[in-house]
Amino acid sequence: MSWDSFIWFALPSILLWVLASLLVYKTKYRLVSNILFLMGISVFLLFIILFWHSVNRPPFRTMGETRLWYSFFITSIGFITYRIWKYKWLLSYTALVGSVFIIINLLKPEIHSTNLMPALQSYWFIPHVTSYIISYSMFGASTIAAIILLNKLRKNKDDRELEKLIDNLVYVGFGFLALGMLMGCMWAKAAWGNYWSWDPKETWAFLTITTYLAYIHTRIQRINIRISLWILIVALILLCITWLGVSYLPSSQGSVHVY
Amino acid sequence: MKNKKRIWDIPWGYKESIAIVLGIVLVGFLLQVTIGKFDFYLLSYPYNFYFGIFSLAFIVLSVFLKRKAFFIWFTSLSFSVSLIGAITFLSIIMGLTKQVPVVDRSNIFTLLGFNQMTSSWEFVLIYFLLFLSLGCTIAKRKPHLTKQYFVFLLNHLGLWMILFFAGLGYSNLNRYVMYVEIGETQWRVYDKDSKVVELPIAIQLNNFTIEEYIPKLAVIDKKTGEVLPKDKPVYFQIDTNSKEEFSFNCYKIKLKKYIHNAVRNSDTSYKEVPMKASCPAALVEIRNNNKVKSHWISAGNKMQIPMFTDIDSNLALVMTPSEAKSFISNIEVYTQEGGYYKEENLRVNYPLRAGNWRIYQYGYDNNMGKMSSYSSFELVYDPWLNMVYLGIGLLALGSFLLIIFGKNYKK
Repeated sequence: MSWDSFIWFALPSILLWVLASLLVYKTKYRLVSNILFLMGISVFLLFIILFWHSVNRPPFRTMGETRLWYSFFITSIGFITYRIWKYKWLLSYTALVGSVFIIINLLKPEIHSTNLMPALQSYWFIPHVTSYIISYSMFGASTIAAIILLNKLRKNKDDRELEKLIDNLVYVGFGFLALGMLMGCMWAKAAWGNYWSWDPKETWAFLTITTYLAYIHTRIQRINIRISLWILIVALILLCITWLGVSYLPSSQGSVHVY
Repeated sequence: MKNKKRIWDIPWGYKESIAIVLGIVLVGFLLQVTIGKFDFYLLSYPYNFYFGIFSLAFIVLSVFLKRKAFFIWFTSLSFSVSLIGAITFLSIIMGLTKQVPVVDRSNIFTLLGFNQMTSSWEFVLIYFLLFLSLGCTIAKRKPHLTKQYFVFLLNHLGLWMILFFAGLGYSNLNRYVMYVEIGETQWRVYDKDSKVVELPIAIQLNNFTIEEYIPKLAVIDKKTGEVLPKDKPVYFQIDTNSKEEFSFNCYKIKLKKYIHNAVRNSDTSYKEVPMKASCPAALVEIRNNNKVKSHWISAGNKMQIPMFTDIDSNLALVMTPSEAKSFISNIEVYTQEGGYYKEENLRVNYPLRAGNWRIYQYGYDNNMGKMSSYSSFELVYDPWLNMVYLGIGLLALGSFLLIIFGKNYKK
């Protein structure tokens, strides 16, 4: 089993996930959708196992191989979180992100051979990144919901259910964000001897998480919800800077997180 | 008619909290401008110990006085949110200004400590208040055998422990880089002023090895040395057995033999010799219609010259230089108290624990690569680490419960 046969596992997985994430919106086919989604994960896992067996080493060596694990864990954790919280969009979202990683591997095969440098060879690498990606999806969704709610409030329409949805999304997203950050700390300690060193990316991650903390605490107090919702929108902007923008800031010259 | 509450009337809310927090940041600025940055050695042992005792005493006191207006406010959400806001604000400044180890106090930003935010008075004061307020908040809440209380406790206590032990332990933390020649024992390091320091811990380096990735093959333009095709360079990976033949334009390139530890045998051949000066080499066959030629290629190293082969008058086939997969030290460690530790596979991401010390594989002689005669280690002394880990563990469990339970509305 090699990358040459990847496509014969990748395409069926994508197909099953896409089908599942469409059918999940039809109440009648919900069970079918769940089964299809799990089948997609199984087919994908089968490739990983066979590939692992044939290369005779854990497939963690190259960027392409780590993408295999992202696809696997994102869809698996996405499925579990969907089962707990019944957010159908989450199933579609994780299917999409999982598929994107697969498609990158299919379209840019030369990246299979980009070797991981020693600092990246850690068992924290994949859970750290996966956890962050899931939390970003939760925060993205909560911000969309916040904008919808702000709009409703402007028209003097209340929506308690939407409020609850936003709060739960933020709580779940915050859980994943904190886990991702703590795993990052453990990894940093093992790799650099520091669990926290105020590297620019870390500083931005920190202020993102404190902004979400502010949201959570203002909501417990139930001050004007508009303020809380605006905090949520600002938090997402800060999150995007942390994720994508830090490399471009003048403060980041020499950051260890810029590759 | 009820009188409207004016600012500073109790109970205090957001107006008062924000005003006080802003006041404290201002005090921080003033201290920073007048006496310079916060010196963390003020918190070295035993002062950090006294400081810890004082904080705990303050928190215990707050339990007894929890109905007093001051402590009601000190543990209120308005004060917490204001403090969170302040630390976020200071972090944004830190995130936008380049942080440097040494500053000349020449302009308003450096004067206010923006370039060394974590050791500025404003940051330290807010950090300290955050941690005191958090401690009092935890102590105030009555324990309940409920889901909510557990989630609250795990998250807040975990964070408090991290703030407490990481903050107070910071000045106890020491780190050094030690260089050890193969076969020798070393206990001396340079400190940051380049003075020799003798440590209570010695490292004996028995052996040092570098594992390299199997290199790749590439076709280059002989004139420019660029890997082709120019816009999307292709590297042929030769370590999987599945594919041994590659195509480039009308040429077929076939890997016939690969030696990972090769030494040049003659002008045109290599043989396997497992020694440090060896380097990877491959025998390749290039076919174009009926023309076939075989040749050895190698990227070489400090001791061996590289070898490539012409494909035609413009193109050549080369091997890429080796990349380190891992570098591994075999060490024995002795401490002054008579401790003995041994690690045959010390490598990046897998440090060795020796009491309160942790030893990290740090580097080697990059110029010499596999032939490096020494290995370097980073030694970190951190007696509070386990307590920080306990905090991280509690917080992780708390985060996990947030994922499972979300926000609990049934109250």
